[in-house]
Amino acid sequence: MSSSISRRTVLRGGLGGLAALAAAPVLASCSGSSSGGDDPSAAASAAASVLPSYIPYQGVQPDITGEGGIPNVFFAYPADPQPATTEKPGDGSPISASMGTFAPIPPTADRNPYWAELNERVGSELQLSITPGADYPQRFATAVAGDNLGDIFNVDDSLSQLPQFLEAKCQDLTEFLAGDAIADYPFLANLPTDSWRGTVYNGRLYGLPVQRGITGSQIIFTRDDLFEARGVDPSFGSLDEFLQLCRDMTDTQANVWALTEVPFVVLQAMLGIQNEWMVDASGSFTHALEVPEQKDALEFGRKLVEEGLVHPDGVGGANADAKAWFSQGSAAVIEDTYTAVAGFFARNTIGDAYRLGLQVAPGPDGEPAPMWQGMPNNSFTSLAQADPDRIRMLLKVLDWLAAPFGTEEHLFRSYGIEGVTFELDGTEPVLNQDGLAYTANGAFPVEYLVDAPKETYFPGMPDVAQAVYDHQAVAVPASSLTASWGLYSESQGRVGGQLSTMLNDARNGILLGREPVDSWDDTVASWRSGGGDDIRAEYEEAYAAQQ
Amino acid sequence: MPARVLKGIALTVICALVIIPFVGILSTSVASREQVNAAGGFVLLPSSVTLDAYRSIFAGGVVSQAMLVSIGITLVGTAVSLVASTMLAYALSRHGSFGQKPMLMLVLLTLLFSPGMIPNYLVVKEFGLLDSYWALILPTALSGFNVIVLRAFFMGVPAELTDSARIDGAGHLTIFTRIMLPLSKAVLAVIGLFYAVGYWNAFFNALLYMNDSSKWPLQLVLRTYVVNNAELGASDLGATVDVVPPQASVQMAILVVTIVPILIVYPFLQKHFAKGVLTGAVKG
Repeated sequence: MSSSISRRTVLRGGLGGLAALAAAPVLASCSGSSSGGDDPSAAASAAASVLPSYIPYQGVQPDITGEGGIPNVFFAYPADPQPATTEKPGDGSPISASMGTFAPIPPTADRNPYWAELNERVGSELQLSITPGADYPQRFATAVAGDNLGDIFNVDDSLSQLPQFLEAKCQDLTEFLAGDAIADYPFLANLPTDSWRGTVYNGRLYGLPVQRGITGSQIIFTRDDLFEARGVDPSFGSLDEFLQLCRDMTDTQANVWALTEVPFVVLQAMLGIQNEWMVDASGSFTHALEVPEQKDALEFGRKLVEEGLVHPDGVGGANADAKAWFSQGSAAVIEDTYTAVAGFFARNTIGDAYRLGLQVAPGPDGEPAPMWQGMPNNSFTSLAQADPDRIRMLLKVLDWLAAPFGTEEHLFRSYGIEGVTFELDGTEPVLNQDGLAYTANGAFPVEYLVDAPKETYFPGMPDVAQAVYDHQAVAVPASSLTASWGLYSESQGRVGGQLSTMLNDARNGILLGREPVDSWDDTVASWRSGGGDDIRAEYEEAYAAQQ
Repeated sequence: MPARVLKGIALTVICALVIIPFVGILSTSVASREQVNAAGGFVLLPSSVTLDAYRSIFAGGVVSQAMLVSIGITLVGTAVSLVASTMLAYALSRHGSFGQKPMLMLVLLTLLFSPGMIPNYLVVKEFGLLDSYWALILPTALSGFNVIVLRAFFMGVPAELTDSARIDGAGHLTIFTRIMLPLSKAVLAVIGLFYAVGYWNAFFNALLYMNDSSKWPLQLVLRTYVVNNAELGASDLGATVDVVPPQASVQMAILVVTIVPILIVYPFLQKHFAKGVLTGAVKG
């Protein structure tokens, strides 16, 4: 497996990165630098009074300390991880929990030595009800109706009337976790404030974040080995340069296209469009699809498709196929998230010749574009109402399950038992086939109850970790989070899915040349009358209540 | 002669159209990552064979256990369904039996309306069937369609046969077991197959009713591989593993594991199949 990675464009983008910090857009999404929990505006808001204090865990020192929302970087797994706890968090009583999973189902505790050992270390039997992620909403709805959710459950946030459900059925955790009360749970206190904002409903704290930080942000990856073979520079300083490199990398006779799909998120950022919902000084919300530049993005995307620079199945295609095209060299450019990096290398079949580039996209002024931050959380977890002692015990267990990278608890939780589920290669834990089926870094979905902050770590590939950090160091300061984060809209839960489908269909129609770009005006009008204006009004109301 | 040649060519082409996808599924399931990548995801003729995809899905024993569960559910469920359906159909086929018309209306009603997901769940919960294998059998034990087909078949049996049995002193149970069932082998084979395929393919009821994943049937376990579309070791987990087969191979291996057992049953029932369905259908 190759760990070759191109940093040239990361450094090039870095020259202008600091200057971009000074640029203040008229319409601003939420600050991208609040993830560390030290955002003064968050502290000033009413919601901040229920947010837990952010107390970073100091027990393990990373190779590079991430700041401003950038994850810590570890070039290797710390040698000889030490226990960070002294006692078992459980009280011996069984703990039932339910969650979805995006991996195959793991063997149950009676035939899974990892699960059995996890029960032993937790001090309580973890009875997990696991559901395929795609089916979890149905499973969750029936369990809500049957009052059969268990002690701890990952919440499906598309549930209608979610705040009412949380208030009626879930434990209000404010008194246990708000402010400095979180200090009783040091690993939960290590979770960033932005993530906790996603668990506040009705002004109270109803859950624990399954946090992802900025790792879900979309960026441009390039196959630099393919670029080199054609003598093309993979970096680009403007939309025109991007268009030209796409032309240079396309050879339809050889079944090679520049792009797997239209990189629409990055295109919008390159045109200066901020992340999804924006809020101005008066508290008015505007959606990215409404700004004039949106039609420029559509026009540019349409041109990419029209010139045949995008894989023929790439408009409206499945993301899994896009990764395959990128891996097999049918396309040299892909828009994907930081979390995809490990997968790109896992799919590499050409050995050391494989080289991956992370490109910093330029904005309209040539400075780094306002990268659209991924959602800070994958989801969140709530607790069934119970007496305070049981809630404290459950929080202790969840705290243990959030033990940070580099602790003995984390090593066990992620990789299991040495000699059974993993072997050490130097200090790097390497899962074996059983480990893949048994453990949390394989198929065991305990990370969907609560998770430690995601660190930048690629076993055996320190240069990849460095390159990801270098990209983030430039892109994250210019990035933005949607202004709707931490706000609730009933209409979004009710009609958001339909509106999203309608917008995608209209966008694909334009990209494929079936509809003119000007038809977008009608789409926006339909979106507004179909619920977009209601969503906006509800966000504005929720935003005003927090000020 | 040319006509025979043309017929031969046409049949060969049609057979190839049917067989090639199956060959592709089998080939992709045993292909290496290099071949899958080179072929764009669908390998027709693998240059080398690896069983990594099968090893991957059978690792940990989850799939083997689920296969046993599925076989058990299919066998027991089919038996329960056949017994219940034939008895109900027989009762509904006898004019003047107690409550025949209202019962028939109820059966027909199930063809038009079905209870929603949550009412079903609540019923299963109230009966205390959550996490019980019976939750995978009883809610779907009777299919209105199959009962109607069986009833039509029973109604087509000449009345002289049952009348003469009755003169000889036979009751309904004797007529049902000694006359009706032996005459119904074809339709029973077909209806049995319908039920068996239904039980074999069902996954959603297990999704809702089974918290304990060790009791999951094969289809639900395999769904976690296919629907989630996650390539283990290639996710954001940053884990290093020794062997990770490509997702396309894993998915095709799953198709093989899913299809083969039920495919084996078809040839044995084929001779009854057309006869059974037609008999029930046209004489209703």
